[in-house]
Amino acid sequence: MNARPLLNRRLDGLGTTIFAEMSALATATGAINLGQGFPDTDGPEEIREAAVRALREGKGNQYPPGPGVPELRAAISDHQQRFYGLSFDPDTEVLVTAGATEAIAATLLALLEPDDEVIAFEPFYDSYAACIAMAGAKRVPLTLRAPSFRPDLDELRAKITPRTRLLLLNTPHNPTGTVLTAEEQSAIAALAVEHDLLVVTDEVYEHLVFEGTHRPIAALPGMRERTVTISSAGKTFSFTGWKVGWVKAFSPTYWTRAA
Amino acid sequence: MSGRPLLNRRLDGLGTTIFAEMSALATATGAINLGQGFPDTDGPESVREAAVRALRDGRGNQYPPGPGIPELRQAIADHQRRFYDLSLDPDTEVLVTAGATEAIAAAMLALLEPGDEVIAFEPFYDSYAACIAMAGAKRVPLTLRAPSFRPDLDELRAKITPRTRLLLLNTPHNPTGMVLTAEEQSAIAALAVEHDLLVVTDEVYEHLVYEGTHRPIAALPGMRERTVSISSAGKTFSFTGWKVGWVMADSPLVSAVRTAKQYLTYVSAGPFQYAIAEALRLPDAYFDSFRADLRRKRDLLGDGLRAAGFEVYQPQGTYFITTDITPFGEKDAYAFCRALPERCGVVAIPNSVFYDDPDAGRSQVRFTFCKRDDVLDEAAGRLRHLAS
Repeated sequence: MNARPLLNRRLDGLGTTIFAEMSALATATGAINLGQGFPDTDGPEEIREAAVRALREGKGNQYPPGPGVPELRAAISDHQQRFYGLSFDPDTEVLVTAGATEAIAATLLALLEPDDEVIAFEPFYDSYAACIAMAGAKRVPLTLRAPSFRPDLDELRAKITPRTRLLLLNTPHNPTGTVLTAEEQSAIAALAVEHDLLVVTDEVYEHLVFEGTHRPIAALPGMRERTVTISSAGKTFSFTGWKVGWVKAFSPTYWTRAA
Repeated sequence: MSGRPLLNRRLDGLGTTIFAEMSALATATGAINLGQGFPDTDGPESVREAAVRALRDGRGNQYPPGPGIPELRQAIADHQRRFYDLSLDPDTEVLVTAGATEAIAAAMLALLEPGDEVIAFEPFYDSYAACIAMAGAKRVPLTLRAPSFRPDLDELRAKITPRTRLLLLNTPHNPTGMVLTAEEQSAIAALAVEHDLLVVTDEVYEHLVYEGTHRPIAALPGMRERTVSISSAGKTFSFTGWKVGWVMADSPLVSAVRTAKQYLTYVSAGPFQYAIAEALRLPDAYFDSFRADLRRKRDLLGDGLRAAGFEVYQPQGTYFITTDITPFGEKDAYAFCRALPERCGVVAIPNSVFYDDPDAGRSQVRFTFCKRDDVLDEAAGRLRHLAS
């Protein structure tokens, strides 16, 4: 064990997140912390009281079902229908996770094999890099450049190789605030279909779009069967400490049965 | 993408856990579920109300600190001092996780590299196999054999190679209920020191030992600097749904595990962390009566299973009983468990799925006794029809 570092060398340089470092600095200096993205005001009281009721009525105090409680899966499915006209089977196409972070980790560890390539926007949320590294895959950055931070779609095309397994998208984009336009989404979707790529899309800021509207890329033609869409409750309802996230994607079994 | 399966081939065969399969069977048939190990009675009201207070006071509703809230880390350190006389620095030697499951995943992903070998008891908790596979490492089973399920230490020694990176222990052991003795722990520790191995030890049933006492292997000479100890609140306080677990180790090991952990869930269970900080400070009477209650349930179900005709392997710890179905003239535990709900309305888990060696556990079936007395009585009554 002494012959090599304790930490898996794939995780070199990923030891401490910048958020931990800067939040510690905020605590040490008493500075106003505009670093990490969590609200200083909790979400609606009625939601908090729903949690209190669940606790007191003994709902969820023991292991919930692996895919999440049926009530939440149905609500996620209904939300997609209501806001985007998308239909997901709550039993086979929705999975509840410990926040979007776990959803990303699980998705990348499930879909990637060593030496696969993943094209992801840069700047990137640091967990993307770590999860790709844990899977033994290679991150290929597509740099979003100031001042507009639009993705360069020719550059994206040029970065696709026979080793490319998936495109990792994030819209609205943290940290730049870029929201993909309908045209950009269509072009990205066309590339994904042309090269038969999987798409993983982190859309946790779906309800925080100030210009334009958010539209899940999964709604585009040819995308449903190749897209894993990730969202969460933390940002939308201002309870980041509860860590409730979810995955929505195509279930071949369900649609075969339905057909 | 069409050229190969969607799922990482390292995870082949790990698609659905046996617990999901058997719990679905319980739901479909209305059978009594003695398969998955979660209690049908919640833990102390005072602990639940501590969670309510945290929610209402706005403690933990936003991201807690990455390593866990200081109050919980301090309570974990104090618990180790109180029960085992172990001293831990709550700031650098304790890490809060989303249950023991995340702790195990983070430890494996942090400490292993592709090609490493991990020696682990078999039968094994299925997440061990999956996490070792995700890390690209190789699991080397050390088979615990009925009726005693003691580890064969000569066999352990023989399985250590230059590629061995760590020993993955579990005591009290799920599913067999085996609790390592002081002598076994010393011998394992000596091997770990001799071969300079890391040790990861899952001790979530630490407060459910009925014969002998639990002692963390980290307390042994030479072990502290190489051992990652994992425990959780779920089993001890009967709130398995809250998913609050923790890792205890020397600071360099905690740093390594934290690196992987922060990218698996980042943080979790905000308000519940405050509640468990209070739970860990419950008086000894809580821990004593919890253990006494489960010991009584063990004996209740054990008697019922014997009366029904099973060969019962008395567990020293955990809340599971492993049995053998050979007395019924049957030898395929999986087929037996698939049929059991229809035959008599009870769900159990075949231990055979927790072995690489298909013969070692072929006829073993696991039942949990963390259920109400009337449920255990009813299940025992139903199982009595098996022999007729």
